[in-house]
Amino acid sequence: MPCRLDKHLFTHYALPFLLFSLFSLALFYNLFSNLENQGLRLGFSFLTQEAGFEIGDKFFFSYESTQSYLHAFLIGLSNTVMSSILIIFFSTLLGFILGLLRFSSLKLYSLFASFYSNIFRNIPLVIQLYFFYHILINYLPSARESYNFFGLDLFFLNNRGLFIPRFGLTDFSFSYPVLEGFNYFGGSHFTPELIVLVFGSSLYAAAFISEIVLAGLKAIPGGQLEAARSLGMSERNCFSKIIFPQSVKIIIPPLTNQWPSIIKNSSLAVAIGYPDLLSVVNTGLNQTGKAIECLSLIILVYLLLSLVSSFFLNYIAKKFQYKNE
Amino acid sequence: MVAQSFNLHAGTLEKVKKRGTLICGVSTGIFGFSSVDSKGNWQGLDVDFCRAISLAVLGSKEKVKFVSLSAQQRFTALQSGEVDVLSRNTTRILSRDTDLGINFGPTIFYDGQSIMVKKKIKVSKVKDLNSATICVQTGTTSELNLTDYFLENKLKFRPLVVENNEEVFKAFLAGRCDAITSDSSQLAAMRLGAPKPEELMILEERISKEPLSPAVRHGDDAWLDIVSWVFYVLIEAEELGINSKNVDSFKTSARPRVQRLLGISKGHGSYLKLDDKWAYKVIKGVGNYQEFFDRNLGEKTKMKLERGVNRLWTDGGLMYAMPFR
Repeated sequence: MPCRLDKHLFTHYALPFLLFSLFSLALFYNLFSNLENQGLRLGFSFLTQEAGFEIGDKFFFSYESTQSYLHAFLIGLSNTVMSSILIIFFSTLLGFILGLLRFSSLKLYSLFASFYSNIFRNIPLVIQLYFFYHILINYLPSARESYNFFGLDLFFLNNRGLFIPRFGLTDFSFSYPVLEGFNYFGGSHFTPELIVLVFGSSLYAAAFISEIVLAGLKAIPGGQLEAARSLGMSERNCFSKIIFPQSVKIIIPPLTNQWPSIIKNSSLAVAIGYPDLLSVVNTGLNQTGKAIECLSLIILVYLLLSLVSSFFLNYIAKKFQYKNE
Repeated sequence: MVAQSFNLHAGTLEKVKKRGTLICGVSTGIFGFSSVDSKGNWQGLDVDFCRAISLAVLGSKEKVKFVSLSAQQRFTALQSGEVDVLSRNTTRILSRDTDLGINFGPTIFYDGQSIMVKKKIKVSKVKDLNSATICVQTGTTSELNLTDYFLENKLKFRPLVVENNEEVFKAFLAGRCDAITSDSSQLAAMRLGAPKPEELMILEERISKEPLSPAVRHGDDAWLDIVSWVFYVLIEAEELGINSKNVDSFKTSARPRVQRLLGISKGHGSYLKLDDKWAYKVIKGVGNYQEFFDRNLGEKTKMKLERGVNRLWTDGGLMYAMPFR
């Protein structure tokens, strides 16, 4: 078995990476000679220069405009990773629920789920994001007229986002949002861009995942259900002990394929102004004019993210795989 | 290949003459500078400047091909030779002038960055905007100036950076941001597109200097000379009181300055490898700087901008032509 894994390591990961690198090397060689003639210098030394621009969303990391481009890019990367994790979590959860609804013998449930899946899968994600974003920022109140949940003065929702208290786990600190001038400060802040990105992308990806879940459930031969019933198992047990455990093994491999595509789709954040990796590096590109350097950074990071996640997911998928006995 | 590359950026003049058209990089639509009117014609200050170059080099203002470039694409398009000249609201700054392998011509419009707010938030100074969320377009010097200004004045703000000009403005109108920042001329153009322009106000303060200048590739000095001197024609003509309507009446002028400019005394075109009538054609075809301004930005247009620092030096402004000798 370990020998097999090693073989895959080469053909699935190392070989594509090697070919890609060789191809880029050839392109780069051509590029370098042309750039030299234009008197342009390629190089990544700008990464240590002061970035000079602010970033709106930082999750829990600190960043100031006086810090380096590299630091700014890492904030962008952390935004991409964090939002992807959130999307993966919510879409998988919702996808499973919808898949089960579609499998349901109640016509109303299955019709609803199939309606949902067909609507969301067939509208381009970027349009859905624009749609939700404009609804959100146009219909939420301004900061001064925020919704104050339960009248507690702790949870606020307005067109600047959702503000909630924050508990510091390491230093046992507690901070809550307070209105200062135009905005709330303190506590945790989820901007409308992040909310729409996570919400919209989750709805979209959930539609695909529900199809996978449904296919997995349908793949279990009907004879199994009949056999379980004839043994006198309750309907509930038939599902939870016979159908579901078997279908999970079928669902996991295609499901894991969805995750890298979720990571890649998260780059649509740039359309609605969420400072993900693409958006921040783009800003850097514009400020420095280092188009080739910045674009190759973006490509390399997305490639690595996808390769790492699919490597990890294939490992999980293997764990769940049927043995050929 | 090396020899070919060496020629890549010399001889733009010969290339343009051989091709018979001038390829000019403009914006994707900034009213007053470069935008397409209802009949599909390009118009604006930057557009007229391209036509002036075309008149000087090719003798016709129609021999220009306009290429729309986003803030991001503009430098790459120029570097790679896709456009002959970049005439697109571009601020001349040290790093662009040096590191990007481009050279700037004389400033054709002295602008400054401002902030636009809704009147109803009752803000009259930038300092009143402490803690505000401010919308800004990616890839502009505005993003950096804004950060500098707030840092300098110890004010805090939250940025919302969006790539698309229209999306930034929509977010501002929806109330996602308290203010929006850009060059004051661009804000004036944006305001025209608002459903209720009278509800918006551009703050008096200018938080930066924005000398908007045309750019050409580094290393083609002859081409830079042409671009620079075409601009000086516009100013010199205004200084001498020559415009597109009365230029023919100056043909008999005895003033040596006029004779040199209009090519009545021989030999001045040869310095630029153009014919002696080059400046005459420019003035006859598109007029002097005053006409440029009145046609695109002045009182009679929707923009209603004042000449301000863009007046002639003789009127206390910054516009000054180098002597034609």
